Amino acid sequence: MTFFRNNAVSISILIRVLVALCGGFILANLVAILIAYLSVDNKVDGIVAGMMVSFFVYTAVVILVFSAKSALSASLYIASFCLVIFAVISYIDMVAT
Amino acid sequence: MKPRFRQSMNWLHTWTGFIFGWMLYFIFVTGSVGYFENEIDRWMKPEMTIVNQVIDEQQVLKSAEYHLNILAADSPEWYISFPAARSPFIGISWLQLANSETNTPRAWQEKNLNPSDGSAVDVRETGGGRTLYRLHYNLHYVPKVVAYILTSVAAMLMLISLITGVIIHKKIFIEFFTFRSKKGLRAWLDIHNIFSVLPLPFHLMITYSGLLLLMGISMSTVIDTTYGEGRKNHNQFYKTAHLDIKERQFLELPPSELSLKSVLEDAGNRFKKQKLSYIGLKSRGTKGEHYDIWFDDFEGIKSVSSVEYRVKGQQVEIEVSRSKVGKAASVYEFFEHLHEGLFADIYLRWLYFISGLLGSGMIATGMVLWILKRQKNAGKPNKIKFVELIERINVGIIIGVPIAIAVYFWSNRLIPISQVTRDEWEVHSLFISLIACISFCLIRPKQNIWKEMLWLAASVYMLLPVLNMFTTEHTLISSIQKSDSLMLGFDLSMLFFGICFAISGITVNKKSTKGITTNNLVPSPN
Repeated sequence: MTFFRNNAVSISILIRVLVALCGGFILANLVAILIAYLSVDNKVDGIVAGMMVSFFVYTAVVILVFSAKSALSASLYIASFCLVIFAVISYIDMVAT
Repeated sequence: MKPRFRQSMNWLHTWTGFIFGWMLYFIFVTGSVGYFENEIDRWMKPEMTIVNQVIDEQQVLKSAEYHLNILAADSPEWYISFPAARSPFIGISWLQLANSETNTPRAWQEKNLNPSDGSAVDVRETGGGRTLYRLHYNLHYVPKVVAYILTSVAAMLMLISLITGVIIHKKIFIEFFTFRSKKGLRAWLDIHNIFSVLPLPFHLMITYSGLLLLMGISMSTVIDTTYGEGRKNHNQFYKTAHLDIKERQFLELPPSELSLKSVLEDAGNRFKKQKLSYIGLKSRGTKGEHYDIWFDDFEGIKSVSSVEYRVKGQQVEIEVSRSKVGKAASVYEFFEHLHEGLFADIYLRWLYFISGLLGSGMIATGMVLWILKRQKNAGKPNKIKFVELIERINVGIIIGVPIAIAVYFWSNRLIPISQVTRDEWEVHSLFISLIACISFCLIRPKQNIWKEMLWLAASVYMLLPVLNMFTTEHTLISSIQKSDSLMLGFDLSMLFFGICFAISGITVNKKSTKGITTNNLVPSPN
């Protein structure tokens, strides 16, 4: 345990970087896919819009992850956002088929 | 705002800016240079004959067709370009198909036409302005997809640094007017702020639009969910996404008479006010054979419509492309045009270029700040050594990239014309000289590297017009006489950049004799 205690700051930063990188990428993609799903009348345009918005999502995720109180709460935030959006996408998928 | 929040944003700003800083600097410099693609192209193709007289378009077409028939009889695509403001030349280009018998690869070929007698002029094989500006997203040596992803990651980090940079600024406008010279760290910080705040809209626009231009690669999973994976499926998406609103009309022209000549005639009558840029004959000899016309004019920021002529049934159909079908696609297009700046006239073009250079300056000063702060707080000897290494490489890149670009121009004149893959060697010289610059900074005494690099940069730039004089028939005076403004402008600009580097060299020299070099710009602790 002393290893974790001695390197608490570095480990916290490492977790945040990983959450920002991977979580940000996943959430940005999920939001983009959701936007694409929501625009029923012109799906192609929805994809373009989704991709265009995704970069702001990514930026917001990174800012959130690094301003959160602890690395744990940052991961929880991002994970729950991902879950919610994933649930909505799955629901739309289910209704559509 | 809570102080803790700002503190974390400060940390984020520091590290997102630092991590891809050198690559971003390279991207910004080569991208800025790219705004002068055509102008650089002219300089790197000194054989081209400039068109100063009024030309008879039909006559030009005739000689172009004559040469294309001889040189490119079996090529599927022909293009004939007419003199335009930024490239006053007549050119023919064609797609040369791969031929295993003669061992020729599939490649684009081009020749320049002499306006006075219609003869074809050989142009040296060169990467030109295009290869140089493409460096800012294809990085040349890595596979395309890898380069696009790396560039996207760099741009994403840039966007985050820009936004966190705005957040950490309490008094963004007040600080903009403060400049505390000679106070070490503060002076560098003030320069960094000026470079960032003044062209902030440009920085945000160029970074975001850069991300958009590569989003088909970086966010490809979004396309996958609807269209499926793979290039074929993605192309399906691009085709639909880039759909234009089109207007179709039929011409009173028998299909048998559709030719380059009749297309030029019709376009001239139909679009009297617009200036023809080029005619293309695509899919030659197949069912889909058609003619394309582009104009040299812009409506706002987008080029005026392109026109297509094709045979449809028993009639000739003309198709005029207007704006994009999709709303998001229109927004995308808007950013694409803003990023490329093709609509910009010469003044706006310089503004684009200067904004880009300010962006490069912002990145460079940011890197210097990172180093200075770490030098101030460095404790262990290991860390001091590491920071010094970064500092040396940093100088090697900040001044080395401009030097490497100048070497790219030098190589265009010095590599023998007959050299095989000459254009490749031009790019090799660019990167070899960049590595040489970094190595130079690693071995020289630290207090001299800024000064020496600046002098080196000054000399390679100032000697470029001289080199041009000795290796071609173009001198400053002959350019004035021939009113070859592109050649003259390039030579003068190079002289100007050389002088700028020289002035910076003198300034650094003065400061170092006074004992305030960049190394000890950090205020001493006592």
